[in-house]
Amino acid sequence: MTVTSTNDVPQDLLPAVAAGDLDAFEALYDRHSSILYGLLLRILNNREDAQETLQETFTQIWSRATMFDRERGSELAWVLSIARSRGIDRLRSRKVRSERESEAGQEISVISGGVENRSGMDSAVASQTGVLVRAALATLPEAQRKALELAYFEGLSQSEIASSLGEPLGTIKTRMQLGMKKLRDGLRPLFDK
Amino acid sequence: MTHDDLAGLAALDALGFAETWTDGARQHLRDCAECRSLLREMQEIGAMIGLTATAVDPPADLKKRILESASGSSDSVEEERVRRSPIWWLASAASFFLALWGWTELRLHAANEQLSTLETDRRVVAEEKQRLEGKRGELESRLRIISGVDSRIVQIAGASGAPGASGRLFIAPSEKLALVFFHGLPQNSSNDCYQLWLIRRGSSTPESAATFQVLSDKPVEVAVPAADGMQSVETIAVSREPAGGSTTPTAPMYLATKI
Repeated sequence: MTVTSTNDVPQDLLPAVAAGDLDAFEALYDRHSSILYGLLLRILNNREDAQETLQETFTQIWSRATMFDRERGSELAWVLSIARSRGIDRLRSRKVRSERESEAGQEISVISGGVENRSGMDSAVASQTGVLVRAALATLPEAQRKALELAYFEGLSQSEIASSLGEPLGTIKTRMQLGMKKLRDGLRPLFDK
Repeated sequence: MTHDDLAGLAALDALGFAETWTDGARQHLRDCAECRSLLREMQEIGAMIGLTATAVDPPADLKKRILESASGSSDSVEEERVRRSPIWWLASAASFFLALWGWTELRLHAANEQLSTLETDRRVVAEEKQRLEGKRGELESRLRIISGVDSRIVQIAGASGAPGASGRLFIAPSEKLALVFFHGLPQNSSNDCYQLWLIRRGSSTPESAATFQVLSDKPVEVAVPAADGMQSVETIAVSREPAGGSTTPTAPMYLATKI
């Protein structure tokens, strides 16, 4: 199973990065840094933290590229998973929930103001995939979409989500399962069966 | 465990809730290729939720820092490779033996210093032992003088200068010293002392045997030379003299007795 969002599927760079190819690493950075930085800004809501976490993310990519297995998922999914994991770790460590509320007014214009400032052809691939994912997510009922976003962007546990939304834990589990299944249906064109 | 059950688990797993997996679910996953494919698909979709965030170019200097950091660790990899080369091992072995030699020399030097210290200590202990043995011999001699089977005790009575004073002379024929213990003598000042006189048989000239001072109420012990067991001594007397003693008695006797 591979992501084939466009006819021009970029070649995986991670095998070369795993071999210590700095040029490939730079190309990988150019390919993914914008979407990863945007993701970290969304999670952390703080530029300085996002930049430090992006550096951690690429350091981890550089040191663990040998662990990438194309058969288990795409390069894009792999780097997204690392960035999200690093971002959630930092979010939890700084216990920033209250800070996020206070800083929201300052940062939100950058994050959701639509200032997409991306470079390079490869970013377009992620962008097109992102459009599809956003569209699929938008079709979900608000309750399901909210549960998925709390899990993904805030790293909340199922119990925390249930508490945050004031719903029973079982209801939250069901919502997330249904939401993911609908996302899968909506993104089916992305996958090469 | 059904495919639908596993689809639900896969959905939660893709969101990072791996704790929902059970042994039964894992077994089903091992046995079902379709569900393994579904799991991978869900994980891919889960990661792609991150694409809903708006992409933003990071600062240009961040790229430079990241690439420099990777370049530095790449150099470290090269250093590690060189470190593992045979030449490195040879150099390492040489360094090791050089360090071992230096360490041995240091240990030898330290051992020599320790030996020197121990030798000094041994000398000090030997001297102390000699001193203590001398002290023990002296004490044993005094003990023999005081309580020997052939010891003789002579009471000394106070004279006109100190009628309340008294003394006791211990004589042992086998010893070269006699001991006198005085009680009740008035304390001396810094300008005077007591002087012990011996008057031998057939002589009228007192012979100075010792000087001593009384500085408290406690008894005073005085050792008197007695090479002949004081066989030739007829009288023992004590006078109060100027500090340092006199060649002949210059004051009345405080104590006196015939032996």
